[in-house]
Amino acid sequence: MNEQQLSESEVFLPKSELQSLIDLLRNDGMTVVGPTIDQQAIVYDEITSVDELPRGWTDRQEPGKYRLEQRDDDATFGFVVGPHSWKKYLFPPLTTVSTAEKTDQGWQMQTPEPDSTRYAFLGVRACELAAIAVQDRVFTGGPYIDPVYSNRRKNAFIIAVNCTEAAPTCFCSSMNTGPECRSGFDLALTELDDGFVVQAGSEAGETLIARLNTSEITTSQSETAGQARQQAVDQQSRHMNTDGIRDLLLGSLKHPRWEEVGNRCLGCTNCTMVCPTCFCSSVEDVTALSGESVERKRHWDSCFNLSFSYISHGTTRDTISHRYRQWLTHKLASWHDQFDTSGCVGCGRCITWCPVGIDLTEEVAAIRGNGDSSQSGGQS
Amino acid sequence: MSGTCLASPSIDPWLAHTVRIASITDEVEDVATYHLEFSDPESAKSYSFLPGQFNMLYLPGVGEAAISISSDPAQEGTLDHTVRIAGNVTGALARAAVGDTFGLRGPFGSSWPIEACLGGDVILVTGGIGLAPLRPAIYELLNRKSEFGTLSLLYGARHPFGLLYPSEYADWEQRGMSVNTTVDRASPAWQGNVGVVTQLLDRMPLPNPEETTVLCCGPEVMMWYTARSAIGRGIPADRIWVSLERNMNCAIGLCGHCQFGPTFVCKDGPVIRYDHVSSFLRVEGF
Amino acid sequence: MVTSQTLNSKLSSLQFTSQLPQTAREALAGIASERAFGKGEVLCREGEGCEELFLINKGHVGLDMLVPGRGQVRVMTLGPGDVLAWSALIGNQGATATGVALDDVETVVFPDDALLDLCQVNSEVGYPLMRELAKAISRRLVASRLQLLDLFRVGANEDS
Ligand SMILES: Cc1cc2nc3c(=O)[nH]c(=O)nc-3n(C[C@H](O)[C@H](O)[C@H](O)COP(=O)(O)OP(=O)(O)OC[C@H]3O[C@@H](n4cnc5c(N)ncnc54)[C@H](O)[C@@H]3O)c2cc1C
Ligand code: SF4
Ligand code: SF4
Repeated sequence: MNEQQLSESEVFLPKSELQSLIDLLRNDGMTVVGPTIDQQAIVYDEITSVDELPRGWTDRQEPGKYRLEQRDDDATFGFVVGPHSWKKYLFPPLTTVSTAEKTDQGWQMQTPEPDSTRYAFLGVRACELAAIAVQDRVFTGGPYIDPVYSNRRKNAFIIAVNCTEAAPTCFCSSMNTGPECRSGFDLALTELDDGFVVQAGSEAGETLIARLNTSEITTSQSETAGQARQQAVDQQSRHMNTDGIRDLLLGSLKHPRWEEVGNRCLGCTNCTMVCPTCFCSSVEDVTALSGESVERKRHWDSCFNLSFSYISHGTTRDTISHRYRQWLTHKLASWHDQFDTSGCVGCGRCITWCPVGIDLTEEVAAIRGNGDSSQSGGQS
Repeated sequence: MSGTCLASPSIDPWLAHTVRIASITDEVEDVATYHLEFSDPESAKSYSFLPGQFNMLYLPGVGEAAISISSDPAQEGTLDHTVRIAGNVTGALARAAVGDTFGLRGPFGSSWPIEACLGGDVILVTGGIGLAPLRPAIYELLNRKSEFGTLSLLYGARHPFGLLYPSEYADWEQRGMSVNTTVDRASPAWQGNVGVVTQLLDRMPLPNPEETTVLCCGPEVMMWYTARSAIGRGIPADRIWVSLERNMNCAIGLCGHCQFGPTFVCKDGPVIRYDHVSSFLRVEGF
Repeated sequence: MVTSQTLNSKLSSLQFTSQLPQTAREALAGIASERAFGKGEVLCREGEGCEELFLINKGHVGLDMLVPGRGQVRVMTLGPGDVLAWSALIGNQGATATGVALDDVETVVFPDDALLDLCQVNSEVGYPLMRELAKAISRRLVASRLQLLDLFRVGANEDS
């Protein structure tokens, strides 16, 4: 849907109209997914009402730490990103890729019925738009197209939200993916006290705007929105130097830092589960009791799992340090060769959700600094 | 990156064709060749592969395994896979019987660079089960013998009774390929060479090293020493091709398992030009 | 002189000596002779003194070691371009394996005494020759290591 023909025209949508937006999408047969609070975190889930949005809440993040806090205002989108990302809808954690039935003519394999859900994502941040663009390349940009992803993706309607604040873990500016939403959405919102400045990014977006009760935008609204977006730029304190990063990392495969970070990393896979671009998976057979009907199920996997690189005569990446090196060199280096983009969008999730607070920007700085670097972290 | 990848983007890359075991040839201990035929004549007609490509063999309820095609690409009606028992899928296959059906996805991956060999000498260096992925290349080279210089196969195995396809060597020799075998451990009856296969390369005369192509398939250490020896003898690094092995799950570049630095072994490989991967080959745990 | 000349050209075509300077090859040709062995003939015997260095020009030589209970075990096969019986040259007592001709074998033979003398008085010969010998030994060592790695062993629980 989002064909990224940016329309310059912006309109104003009063807060009271946000529910209408949700209702319209639902009436059009879409499942609306947006941020909501669950187990003391802001996660993405199906919503039907604006009351389910985390209005008045914000998230406090730092390496290894995340907690929610009440805001002193009523902002609906006054937080950054949580442990979930939209990949859980486009690239579901568990899905059936094929089925097999034993018939009189032997085994017959079939493609499962495609999921017909049409998702509307509400509250997609700039880094997440970038992450979706990265996964588009992974799943639909090569010689083989993943039917599950491409089917869900082509049906998705994307309502982006511009960040107006940055967490200390955010570094989208370094990765050139945000904080402002520039393309890849149907609608983009910037939140003001009493409403949203709305921009259409596609024809479908424009059509939807036309069905909403909007008003023309005033100069002062436009300026306030601009300032709010600028605040997210100004607040960004974490950086990653990406100059020549591919050659730097692939040229440092024997750097002692891998061993060192390998001693801290638990190999828990959290970073890969929360990362919006990580796409590793495994397919396994699930057999019905009769033994005559089988589903091939794909589930998320992680390069941090020991079995991930198993081959019959031994595991290739047999230590945590080898696995951390695989993750980071893939994300920041080989990804460029494979998909002509970085695999990191600077969302900071892996930093926040690492139980021991390993920070990739710090690891890169240490390798760049060519030595020990407990101090040469990525924060300035 | 490497030999042309013809694997066409089918509508659903996850969908396996049904194949039937037409016959089974026991090769050496724990290794057998499965001659497969498609249940659906349409699939049979549209299926073609290049030497060095592989299929995912799918045993419903057990799983999939990447297995190279070991038959002659020019010969229609048969699709051979030479399989060594290594675990669940290959073990289940070993218990399968003629007439049994299962699934097949493919062909996947890059192929041996036959066109890049034109006009020059070709040396195939391999060991153990590694001869299976090279056999289609042997057939193709022999079918087009006049287009190449000398053809030599250097083949090592652990024991004399670990050498694959021994009944075919005479035919290969007769059609113009010199077949040189060696074993790591000789039995008293073994009259042939004893020692590792790289030694055969070390002592082989190379009249035109700059125009010689090496196709190598075997354990990584062996391929690395083969390349080292070949380069030491004046064969350019970009004329050496290796076939890599990494954990393989989807075979279509979507699951992440088979990565080797920038390379997805399933779609950029398995056959890769040595100079494209040489800097990663001896990095521990990469 | 005729033999010395044919020897010289043989030496320039063999991998081991082809890298030596022309003058060194000429000097070596001066002390070398050719010797042929029929299938089954022994070139050197494990444990026994051997006073010559062989350079194989044609054919194959099996290197066997005696293992109690298993008899003669073939550990390696040598072929054209390989050197044999270098132990004596570097001062070892006796040959470390038995070398037996596996087919019609032609060798170029260097008497150890003359060779050592030549190397000692003429470093233009001695140094490059010893370097080539070191390379050949290193190749042999790598080959033995690869053999030791048992690369084609299948499965962890397979014996022997
Ligand atoms: C490109 C390619 C070509 C191959 N060609 C042949 C061939 O012609 N003949 C042959 O006998 N073997 C071949 N292999 C090796 C073969 O794929 C493995 O032996 C096989 O996957 C083992 O599966 P299993 O279920 O029997 O073993 P398990 O140990 O039960 O394996 C479990 C899973 O681990 C993975 N795995 C285990 N070993 C390997 C391995 N060596 N390579 C890749 N993935 C592995 C697979 O995903 C497998 O499903 C090839 C491997 C690759 C990558
Ligand atoms: S690597 Fe970390 S910061 Fe980068 S996109 Fe993934 S989770 Fe976000
Ligand atoms: S880096 Fe952190 S989150 Fe990632 S596997 Fe290691 S311990 Fe877990």
